[in-house]
Amino acid sequence: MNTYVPGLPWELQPDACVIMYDNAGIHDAAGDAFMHANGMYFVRLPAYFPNLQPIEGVFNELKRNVRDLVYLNHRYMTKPMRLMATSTAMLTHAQVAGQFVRVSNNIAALL
Amino acid sequence: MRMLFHAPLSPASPLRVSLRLRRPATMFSEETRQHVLGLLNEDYSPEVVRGIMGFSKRSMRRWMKNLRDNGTVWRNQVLQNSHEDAAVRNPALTHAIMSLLHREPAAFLKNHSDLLIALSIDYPSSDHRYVSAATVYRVLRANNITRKRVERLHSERSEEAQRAFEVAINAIPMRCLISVDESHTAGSDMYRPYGRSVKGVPCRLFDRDTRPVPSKSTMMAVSLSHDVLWSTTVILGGAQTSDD
Repeated sequence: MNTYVPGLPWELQPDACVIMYDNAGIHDAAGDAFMHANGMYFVRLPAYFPNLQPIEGVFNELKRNVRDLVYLNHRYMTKPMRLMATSTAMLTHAQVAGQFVRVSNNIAALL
Repeated sequence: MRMLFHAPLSPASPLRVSLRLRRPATMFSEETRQHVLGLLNEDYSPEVVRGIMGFSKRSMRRWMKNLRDNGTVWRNQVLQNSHEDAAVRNPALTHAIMSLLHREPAAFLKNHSDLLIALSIDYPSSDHRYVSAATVYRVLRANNITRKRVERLHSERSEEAQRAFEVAINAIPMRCLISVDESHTAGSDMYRPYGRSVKGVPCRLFDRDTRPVPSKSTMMAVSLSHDVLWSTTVILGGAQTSDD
């Protein structure tokens, strides 16, 4: 990831410099403190608000790949790590970008 | 709960047997109790009734007292044989739960362990007996607090935060965001319950047992410019508690 530059307008900030995550129990104050200490800029989603999280849709695509792979070759069921690696590699740029567009449209609709 | 029944033999008899039987949910029905009291009213002595029905004299005295005081054979007509719920009648616990509900409704929507930690501020286990999550939900139900009502309380509180977040996130370009989360993939996620095939060709679906397949947790970060920035999968062990 790139480093967020404080004070710089958003138009001039580098790509992939803001981490966005939800309020799961594992995302505790210690993690926030670690990222803050390392100069990482992050935003937390409000509680129970996953429709603005692009990766939720990416996971949906990932699990569709999992089902397709197991359907085509049942031996993947005994090789879980290979299954997940192959499923992740099958994710395309269009699929990931489509989820960011979906979130952008959601924000526009809510405002 | 178990109850010990003895055969009607003399205590000194070598043939005395004892049978461990599971006690029924309702020990003795209302009809049975009224029948016993009817026998007593017909001038049968308690010893004779005890010999016929097998009840203790203390039970019969208690039922007679209940009938005299309450008009029924039960001490409490509503509860009947059930015990009163000490947790529901505990004002300190009820106050602590209701305070937490109005202060932080999200606590009741998270993991049970998080709920108990949040509750321990108002109701520390060092001062009281340990309270389980089931007890907390029982107290909520006794106070007519349903999950739907908790969710409404939470959404009303968080609507303001959601609006503020929408404004803040709208200012950040999508290319700057890295979306991070984790997801579990269990055996049931691998099974495709429906399929498609060419007309006239039977659809081939595998009925595989996915239960032995280990559950996996995938942590992933995606961004608009890098696609999948980072991904890690770990195999999880079997669940030990309901929160796992």
